[in-house]
Amino acid sequence: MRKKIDRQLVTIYGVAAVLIVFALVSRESFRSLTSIGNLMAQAAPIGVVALGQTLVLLVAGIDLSVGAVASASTAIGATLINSSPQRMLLGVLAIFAFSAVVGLSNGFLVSFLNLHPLIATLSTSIVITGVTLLLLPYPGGYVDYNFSEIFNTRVFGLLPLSFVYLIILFVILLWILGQTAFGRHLYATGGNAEKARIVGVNVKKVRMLAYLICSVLAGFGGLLLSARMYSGDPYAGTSFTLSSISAALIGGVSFAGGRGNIAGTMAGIIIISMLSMLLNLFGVSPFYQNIMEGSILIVAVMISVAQQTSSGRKNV
Amino acid sequence: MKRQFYMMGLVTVALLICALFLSPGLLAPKHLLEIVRQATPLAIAALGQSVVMLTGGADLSIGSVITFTNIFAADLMARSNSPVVEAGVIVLLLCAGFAIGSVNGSLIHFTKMPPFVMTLGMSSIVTGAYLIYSKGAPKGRVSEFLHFVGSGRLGILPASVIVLVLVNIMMYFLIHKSTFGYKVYYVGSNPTASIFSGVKTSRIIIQSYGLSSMLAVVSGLILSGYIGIGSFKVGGDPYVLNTMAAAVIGGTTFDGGTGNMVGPVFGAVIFTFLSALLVTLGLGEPFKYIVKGLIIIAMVLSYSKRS
Repeated sequence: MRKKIDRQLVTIYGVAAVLIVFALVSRESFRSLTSIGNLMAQAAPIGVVALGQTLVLLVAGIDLSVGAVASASTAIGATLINSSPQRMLLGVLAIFAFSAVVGLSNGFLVSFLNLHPLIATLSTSIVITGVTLLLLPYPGGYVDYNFSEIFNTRVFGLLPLSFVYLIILFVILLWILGQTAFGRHLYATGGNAEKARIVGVNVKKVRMLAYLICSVLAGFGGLLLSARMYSGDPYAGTSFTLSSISAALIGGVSFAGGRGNIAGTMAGIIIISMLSMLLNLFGVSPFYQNIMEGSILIVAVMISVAQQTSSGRKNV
Repeated sequence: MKRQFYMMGLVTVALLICALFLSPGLLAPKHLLEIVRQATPLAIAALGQSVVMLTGGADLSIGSVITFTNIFAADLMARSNSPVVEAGVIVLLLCAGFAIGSVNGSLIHFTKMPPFVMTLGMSSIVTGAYLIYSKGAPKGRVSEFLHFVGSGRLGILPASVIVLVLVNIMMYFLIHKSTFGYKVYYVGSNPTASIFSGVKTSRIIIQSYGLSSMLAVVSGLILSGYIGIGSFKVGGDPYVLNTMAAAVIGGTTFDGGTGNMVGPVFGAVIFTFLSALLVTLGLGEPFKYIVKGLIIIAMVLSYSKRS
């Protein structure tokens, strides 16, 4: 089992590496520290969101509200944050509080009221969009420059701090999933909730926590995004929903839960960011972005479902 | 089924009482007819959504198919005045709709992909297609005939409402009086048993999604007739959620096998009435979203609790 996962990981990272090498060889404009830094800055917000999505997918759930949460978070940021430190703190706290409430609601609807996760999170995403529009009906507002620098500053002129945060979160989650009881419970719940319950895992609590962490990370992803844009936009994070699911599935996380890990998701993030970077580098119209995102999602799910079926697991 | 019926009645009565106290003008017959007219495109698309939900699926590509229809109809119809071209465009779009739905249905059936994800991906692809075609700047306007269907009247009856009645009668017979309809219910309520009893599940699923996209095209044509020009604002994401809300209010469930072809139309009218009520109360777009989300959660919960 261990060996199989490793081989899969190597393949995914191989694909990511091939894309990067291809870009380096074929496009001179990509061969600079700045554009590699840009790639990382672009990958950071969606990366943070995808890490959260992975946890929810691992417990056999799905969160369609991450895009709305990230958008809401840019709107909250743009409304609250100005140059005073108090307001910065207030803004950040408000973002985390808001996304935590969303996560708890999602978790409650799914694990205690037994709503299908797709329906529950789709419905909450509509409510969130409504609240966001109340706050910021049109793209705008201003996120303080100095505040944004906390995320945008490039260490050694290369590594954006936002990417550093992504790496830190990644390491923490890697540790949680691999070394803690909560991590084992996540896998057990996603693998077979009934068995997990019988051996004493608090399945409902584990699901709640997964949705909570996912939403909070989506809120943080939105914060990174608003810092990158220096403003808010009620629809800025919309594409995160699709891409976060794609990144996790490309990384080998199973749609049926219980299988995959966040190291794979990281590779998925690199692949997705690299593909859209390549479209830019080759001057392809951004309109093709939609077609690419949709196709990637469909292919990723197809592969994920095929793997499950071949290993004899039942579909959801 | 009874449960759904009572819930629907309850929601209607509650809404009517609210309207009576808050904004009695909404209840004038003329106004109610206008609300039915406004609800028409939603009702037609919601019928398609319901068929897919009856099979145990969901169609998240409806919104983008509606926009797709508008962009292509406006652009193609503006190029010629001949009725032949116009009819050709309509037939072509209906076929395109069926093709999009068939792809949804086939991939869902043959690869066992979750319908939500498949149609979400398709929605992104269809959006890309009309963005590329229009190069980001939609243009053109619809033909006289379509304009009449979208906004004209025959006597006091809006032409679009007549189309809705026709579509509704057709769908009623298709789902409640034909073998296709029985099979749709069978596939939705017990997929395994339906396979063992020799139902061609693949065909039913593909046709259901095809039907859903085709009805989205019809809805898109009526909306285009009303708006008159090509615009990205026609259809889109709100329609995905609104069709689900209308279907759910009308008694269709997400588990498949429960629902009918009258409820969704009723649901669409109630939903439009609710939007109108919110607007007259001075509550704008944000509140529509919030109420919409809460309604879906509440209705789904109220149906799923004891069943």
